Amino acid sequence: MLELPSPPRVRLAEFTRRYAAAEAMARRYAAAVQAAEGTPEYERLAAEWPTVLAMLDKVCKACEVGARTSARAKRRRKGSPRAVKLHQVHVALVALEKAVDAAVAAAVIALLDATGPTASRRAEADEWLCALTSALNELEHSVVWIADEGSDP
Amino acid sequence: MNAEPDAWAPALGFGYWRVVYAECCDAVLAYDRIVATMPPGAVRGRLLELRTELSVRLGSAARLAELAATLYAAWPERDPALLELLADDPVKDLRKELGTGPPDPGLREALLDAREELWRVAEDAARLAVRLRENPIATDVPTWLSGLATGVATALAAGTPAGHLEDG
Repeated sequence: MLELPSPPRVRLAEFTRRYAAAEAMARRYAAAVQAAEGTPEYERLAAEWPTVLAMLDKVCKACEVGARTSARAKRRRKGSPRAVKLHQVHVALVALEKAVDAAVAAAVIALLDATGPTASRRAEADEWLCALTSALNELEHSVVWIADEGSDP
Repeated sequence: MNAEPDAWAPALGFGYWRVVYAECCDAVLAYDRIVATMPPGAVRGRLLELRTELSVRLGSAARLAELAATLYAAWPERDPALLELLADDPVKDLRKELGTGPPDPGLREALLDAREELWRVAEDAARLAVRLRENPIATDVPTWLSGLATGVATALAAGTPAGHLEDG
Protein backbone atom coordinates (compact mmCIF):
# COMPACT_ATOMS: atom_id res chain seq x y z
CA MET A 1 0.00 0.00 0.00
CA LEU A 2 2.86 2.36 0.77
CA GLU A 3 3.59 3.61 -2.72
CA LEU A 4 5.04 7.03 -2.31
CA PRO A 5 5.66 9.19 -5.38
CA SER A 6 9.17 9.10 -6.75
CA PRO A 7 11.33 11.75 -5.10
CA PRO A 8 11.95 14.75 -7.33
CA ARG A 9 14.89 14.35 -9.69
CA VAL A 10 15.82 18.01 -9.68
CA ARG A 11 17.76 19.73 -6.94
CA LEU A 12 15.35 21.18 -4.41
CA ALA A 13 17.97 23.12 -2.49
CA GLU A 14 16.35 24.58 0.62
CA PHE A 15 13.04 22.94 -0.35
CA THR A 16 14.53 19.46 0.10
CA ARG A 17 13.78 19.46 3.81
CA ARG A 18 10.24 20.71 3.13
CA TYR A 19 9.57 17.83 0.78
CA ALA A 20 11.15 15.35 3.22
CA ALA A 21 8.81 16.63 5.94
CA ALA A 22 5.79 16.12 3.68
CA GLU A 23 6.94 12.62 2.81
CA ALA A 24 7.39 11.76 6.50
CA MET A 25 3.81 12.90 7.10
CA ALA A 26 2.56 10.64 4.32
CA ARG A 27 4.41 7.72 5.88
CA ARG A 28 2.79 8.48 9.23
CA TYR A 29 -0.60 8.50 7.53
CA ALA A 30 0.15 5.11 5.98
CA ALA A 31 1.12 3.76 9.42
CA ALA A 32 -2.20 4.99 10.83
CA VAL A 33 -4.15 3.25 8.07
CA GLN A 34 -2.21 0.05 8.67
CA ALA A 35 -2.91 0.28 12.41
CA ALA A 36 -6.64 0.64 11.76
CA GLU A 37 -6.83 -2.51 9.66
CA GLY A 38 -9.74 -4.67 10.73
CA THR A 39 -11.69 -1.79 12.26
CA PRO A 40 -14.74 -0.02 10.80
CA GLU A 41 -12.72 3.14 10.22
CA TYR A 42 -10.15 1.40 8.03
CA GLU A 43 -12.11 1.80 4.79
CA ARG A 44 -12.56 5.53 5.24
CA LEU A 45 -8.92 6.09 6.12
CA ALA A 46 -7.71 3.93 3.25
CA ALA A 47 -10.04 5.74 0.86
CA GLU A 48 -8.24 9.02 1.56
CA TRP A 49 -4.78 7.57 0.93
CA PRO A 50 -4.82 8.37 -2.82
CA THR A 51 -5.72 11.97 -1.93
CA VAL A 52 -2.78 12.17 0.46
CA LEU A 53 -0.51 10.81 -2.26
CA ALA A 54 -1.86 13.29 -4.80
CA MET A 55 -1.27 16.14 -2.34
CA LEU A 56 2.25 14.93 -1.69
CA ASP A 57 2.87 14.90 -5.43
CA LYS A 58 1.61 18.47 -5.69
CA VAL A 59 3.75 19.57 -2.76
CA CYS A 60 6.67 18.01 -4.60
CA LYS A 61 5.91 20.07 -7.71
CA ALA A 62 5.49 23.17 -5.57
CA CYS A 63 8.91 22.51 -4.07
CA GLU A 64 10.39 22.20 -7.56
CA VAL A 65 8.87 25.54 -8.53
CA GLY A 66 10.05 27.01 -5.25
CA ALA A 67 13.59 25.77 -5.80
CA ARG A 68 13.69 27.39 -9.25
CA THR A 69 12.36 30.65 -7.83
CA SER A 70 14.79 30.42 -4.96
CA ALA A 71 17.73 29.98 -7.30
CA ARG A 72 16.85 33.27 -8.99
CA ALA A 73 16.32 35.15 -5.76
CA LYS A 74 19.56 36.29 -4.19
CA ARG A 75 18.17 37.70 -1.03
CA ARG A 76 15.57 36.54 1.38
CA ARG A 77 13.19 39.32 2.11
CA LYS A 78 9.57 39.43 3.05
CA GLY A 79 7.35 39.58 -0.05
CA SER A 80 9.97 38.33 -2.48
CA PRO A 81 8.85 35.52 -4.83
CA ARG A 82 11.08 33.14 -2.97
CA ALA A 83 9.57 34.07 0.39
CA VAL A 84 6.09 33.65 -1.04
CA LYS A 85 6.91 30.16 -2.30
CA LEU A 86 8.38 29.17 1.04
CA HIS A 87 5.30 30.41 2.85
CA GLN A 88 2.96 28.59 0.48
CA VAL A 89 4.78 25.30 0.96
CA HIS A 90 4.77 25.80 4.73
CA VAL A 91 1.02 26.41 4.69
CA ALA A 92 0.59 23.18 2.76
CA LEU A 93 2.75 21.37 5.33
CA VAL A 94 0.57 22.66 8.15
CA ALA A 95 -2.57 21.45 6.39
CA LEU A 96 -1.04 18.05 5.70
CA GLU A 97 0.09 17.69 9.31
CA LYS A 98 -3.43 18.48 10.51
CA ALA A 99 -4.85 15.88 8.16
CA VAL A 100 -2.39 13.26 9.38
CA ASP A 101 -3.08 14.15 13.02
CA ALA A 102 -6.78 13.57 12.42
CA ALA A 103 -6.15 10.27 10.65
CA VAL A 104 -3.88 9.06 13.45
CA ALA A 105 -6.42 10.03 16.12
CA ALA A 106 -9.24 8.25 14.28
CA ALA A 107 -7.07 5.16 13.82
CA VAL A 108 -6.06 5.07 17.49
CA ILE A 109 -9.67 5.37 18.65
CA ALA A 110 -10.77 2.67 16.23
CA LEU A 111 -8.00 0.38 17.39
CA LEU A 112 -8.64 0.85 21.10
CA ASP A 113 -12.38 0.68 20.52
CA ALA A 114 -12.10 -2.61 18.70
CA THR A 115 -10.14 -4.37 21.40
CA GLY A 116 -10.75 -2.52 24.65
CA PRO A 117 -13.50 -2.99 27.21
CA THR A 118 -14.58 0.64 27.15
CA ALA A 119 -17.72 2.00 25.60
CA SER A 120 -17.69 2.66 21.89
CA ARG A 121 -16.11 5.91 20.78
CA ARG A 122 -17.38 5.77 17.20
CA ALA A 123 -18.76 9.30 17.46
CA GLU A 124 -15.35 10.63 18.47
CA ALA A 125 -13.68 8.72 15.63
CA ASP A 126 -16.24 10.18 13.23
CA GLU A 127 -15.34 13.67 14.41
CA TRP A 128 -11.68 13.03 13.63
CA LEU A 129 -12.58 11.61 10.23
CA CYS A 130 -14.54 14.79 9.50
CA ALA A 131 -11.49 16.79 10.62
CA LEU A 132 -9.41 14.70 8.21
CA THR A 133 -11.71 15.50 5.29
CA SER A 134 -11.71 19.16 6.21
CA ALA A 135 -7.91 19.30 6.48
CA LEU A 136 -7.50 17.53 3.15
CA ASN A 137 -9.86 20.06 1.53
CA GLU A 138 -7.82 22.86 3.03
CA LEU A 139 -4.67 21.22 1.74
CA GLU A 140 -6.15 20.75 -1.70
CA HIS A 141 -6.95 24.45 -1.90
CA SER A 142 -3.51 25.49 -0.72
CA VAL A 143 -1.65 23.31 -3.21
CA VAL A 144 -3.96 24.27 -6.09
CA TRP A 145 -3.04 27.84 -5.33
CA ILE A 146 0.66 27.00 -5.44
CA ALA A 147 0.31 24.95 -8.62
CA ASP A 148 -1.58 27.75 -10.39
CA GLU A 149 1.18 30.19 -9.63
CA GLY A 150 3.84 27.58 -10.23
CA SER A 151 2.85 27.04 -13.82
CA ASP A 152 4.75 30.13 -14.93
CA PRO A 153 8.37 29.40 -14.10
CA MET B 1 7.12 -10.53 15.65
CA ASN B 2 5.12 -13.60 16.56
CA ALA B 3 7.67 -14.79 19.12
CA GLU B 4 6.68 -14.58 22.76
CA PRO B 5 7.77 -11.25 24.23
CA ASP B 6 10.87 -11.48 26.35
CA ALA B 7 11.07 -9.12 29.31
CA TRP B 8 14.85 -9.39 29.15
CA ALA B 9 14.98 -8.10 25.62
CA PRO B 10 12.67 -5.09 25.27
CA ALA B 11 11.26 -4.38 21.82
CA LEU B 12 13.02 -1.83 19.72
CA GLY B 13 11.88 1.73 20.08
CA PHE B 14 13.09 4.98 21.38
CA GLY B 15 12.32 7.93 23.56
CA TYR B 16 9.32 8.13 25.83
CA TRP B 17 7.59 4.97 24.58
CA ARG B 18 10.61 2.80 25.05
CA VAL B 19 10.92 3.98 28.65
CA VAL B 20 7.30 3.15 29.44
CA TYR B 21 7.58 -0.26 27.81
CA ALA B 22 10.81 -0.93 29.69
CA GLU B 23 8.91 -0.21 32.90
CA CYS B 24 6.33 -2.81 31.86
CA CYS B 25 9.21 -5.27 31.42
CA ASP B 26 10.59 -4.29 34.83
CA ALA B 27 7.29 -5.32 36.44
CA VAL B 28 7.44 -8.75 34.84
CA LEU B 29 11.10 -9.15 35.82
CA ALA B 30 10.20 -8.23 39.39
CA TYR B 31 7.49 -10.91 39.30
CA ASP B 32 10.04 -13.46 38.05
CA ARG B 33 12.45 -12.62 40.84
CA ILE B 34 9.73 -12.88 43.47
CA VAL B 35 8.66 -16.28 42.21
CA ALA B 36 12.28 -17.42 42.17
CA THR B 37 12.58 -16.66 45.90
CA MET B 38 9.58 -18.80 46.80
CA PRO B 39 9.97 -22.40 48.00
CA PRO B 40 8.74 -25.10 45.65
CA GLY B 41 5.10 -25.94 46.18
CA ALA B 42 1.58 -25.36 45.04
CA VAL B 43 1.70 -21.59 45.50
CA ARG B 44 4.83 -21.20 43.44
CA GLY B 45 3.34 -23.50 40.81
CA ARG B 46 0.28 -21.32 40.58
CA LEU B 47 2.39 -18.17 40.25
CA LEU B 48 4.34 -19.81 37.43
CA GLU B 49 1.05 -20.58 35.68
CA LEU B 50 -0.01 -16.95 35.95
CA ARG B 51 3.31 -15.88 34.46
CA THR B 52 2.19 -17.17 31.07
CA GLU B 53 -0.73 -14.78 31.15
CA LEU B 54 1.55 -11.93 32.09
CA SER B 55 3.51 -12.62 28.93
CA VAL B 56 0.34 -12.13 26.91
CA ARG B 57 -0.24 -8.76 28.57
CA LEU B 58 3.37 -7.78 28.05
CA GLY B 59 3.02 -8.68 24.38
CA SER B 60 0.05 -6.38 23.96
CA ALA B 61 1.97 -3.62 25.76
CA ALA B 62 4.85 -4.15 23.32
CA ARG B 63 2.52 -3.74 20.36
CA LEU B 64 1.07 -0.58 21.89
CA ALA B 65 4.55 0.84 22.44
CA GLU B 66 5.63 0.04 18.90
CA LEU B 67 2.51 1.61 17.47
CA ALA B 68 2.99 4.71 19.62
CA ALA B 69 6.65 4.98 18.58
CA THR B 70 5.52 4.88 14.96
CA LEU B 71 2.64 7.32 15.22
CA TYR B 72 4.05 9.66 17.86
CA ALA B 73 7.78 9.40 17.31
CA ALA B 74 8.71 12.68 19.01
CA TRP B 75 6.16 12.48 21.85
CA PRO B 76 5.13 14.70 23.54
CA GLU B 77 6.33 17.15 20.91
CA ARG B 78 5.93 17.26 17.18
CA ASP B 79 8.76 16.47 14.81
CA PRO B 80 11.43 19.06 15.73
CA ALA B 81 12.56 19.28 12.08
CA LEU B 82 9.05 20.29 11.02
CA LEU B 83 8.76 22.86 13.80
CA GLU B 84 12.08 24.33 12.79
CA LEU B 85 10.88 24.76 9.21
CA LEU B 86 7.62 26.36 10.28
CA ALA B 87 9.42 28.72 12.64
CA ASP B 88 11.60 29.73 9.73
CA ASP B 89 8.64 30.85 7.65
CA PRO B 90 9.32 34.27 6.07
CA VAL B 91 5.78 35.56 6.65
CA LYS B 92 4.92 34.40 10.17
CA ASP B 93 5.71 31.72 12.71
CA LEU B 94 3.46 28.89 11.59
CA ARG B 95 4.18 26.64 14.56
CA LYS B 96 1.25 28.19 16.37
CA GLU B 97 -1.11 26.83 13.74
CA LEU B 98 -0.43 23.30 14.92
CA GLY B 99 -0.80 23.53 18.67
CA THR B 100 1.62 22.15 21.21
CA GLY B 101 1.65 18.47 20.38
CA PRO B 102 -0.08 15.81 18.29
CA PRO B 103 -3.52 14.82 19.60
CA ASP B 104 -3.55 11.43 21.30
CA PRO B 105 -7.02 10.08 22.05
CA GLY B 106 -5.87 7.35 24.42
CA LEU B 107 -2.86 5.43 23.17
CA ARG B 108 -0.59 6.73 25.92
CA GLU B 109 -3.25 6.12 28.55
CA ALA B 110 -3.71 2.53 27.34
CA LEU B 111 0.01 1.88 27.63
CA LEU B 112 0.20 3.47 31.08
CA ASP B 113 -2.76 1.32 32.16
CA ALA B 114 -0.88 -1.78 31.05
CA ARG B 115 2.16 -0.70 33.04
CA GLU B 116 0.08 -0.04 36.14
CA GLU B 117 -1.68 -3.40 35.92
CA LEU B 118 1.58 -5.27 35.53
CA TRP B 119 3.05 -3.47 38.53
CA ARG B 120 -0.04 -4.20 40.58
CA VAL B 121 0.32 -7.90 39.86
CA ALA B 122 4.02 -7.82 40.75
CA GLU B 123 3.25 -6.04 44.01
CA ASP B 124 0.53 -8.55 44.90
CA ALA B 125 2.98 -11.37 44.23
CA ALA B 126 5.53 -9.68 46.47
CA ARG B 127 3.03 -9.34 49.31
CA LEU B 128 2.07 -12.97 48.95
CA ALA B 129 5.71 -14.07 49.03
CA VAL B 130 6.43 -11.98 52.13
CA ARG B 131 3.35 -13.30 53.89
CA LEU B 132 4.32 -16.89 53.15
CA ARG B 133 7.83 -16.28 54.40
CA GLU B 134 6.58 -14.70 57.61
CA ASN B 135 3.97 -17.37 58.18
CA PRO B 136 4.50 -20.58 56.20
CA ILE B 137 1.29 -22.08 57.54
CA ALA B 138 -0.91 -19.10 56.75
CA THR B 139 -4.44 -20.18 55.98
CA ASP B 140 -5.47 -17.24 53.85
CA VAL B 141 -3.08 -18.00 50.99
CA PRO B 142 -5.91 -19.11 48.65
CA THR B 143 -7.55 -15.72 49.13
CA TRP B 144 -4.31 -13.93 48.26
CA LEU B 145 -3.77 -16.15 45.26
CA SER B 146 -7.29 -15.53 44.12
CA GLY B 147 -6.69 -11.78 44.39
CA LEU B 148 -3.53 -12.12 42.37
CA ALA B 149 -5.29 -14.15 39.69
CA THR B 150 -8.02 -11.55 39.55
CA GLY B 151 -5.39 -8.87 38.99
CA VAL B 152 -3.91 -10.83 36.12
CA ALA B 153 -7.34 -11.42 34.63
CA THR B 154 -8.11 -7.71 34.87
CA ALA B 155 -4.89 -6.92 33.08
CA LEU B 156 -5.77 -9.30 30.29
CA ALA B 157 -9.38 -8.19 30.04
CA ALA B 158 -8.26 -4.61 29.58
CA GLY B 159 -7.22 -5.75 26.13
CA THR B 160 -4.98 -4.00 23.69
CA PRO B 161 -4.56 -4.04 19.97
CA ALA B 162 -3.60 -7.47 18.77
CA GLY B 163 -1.33 -8.06 15.91
CA HIS B 164 -1.93 -4.97 13.84
CA LEU B 165 1.74 -4.25 13.47
CA GLU B 166 2.77 -7.83 13.00
CA ASP B 167 2.11 -7.79 9.29
CA GLY B 168 3.95 -4.57 8.70
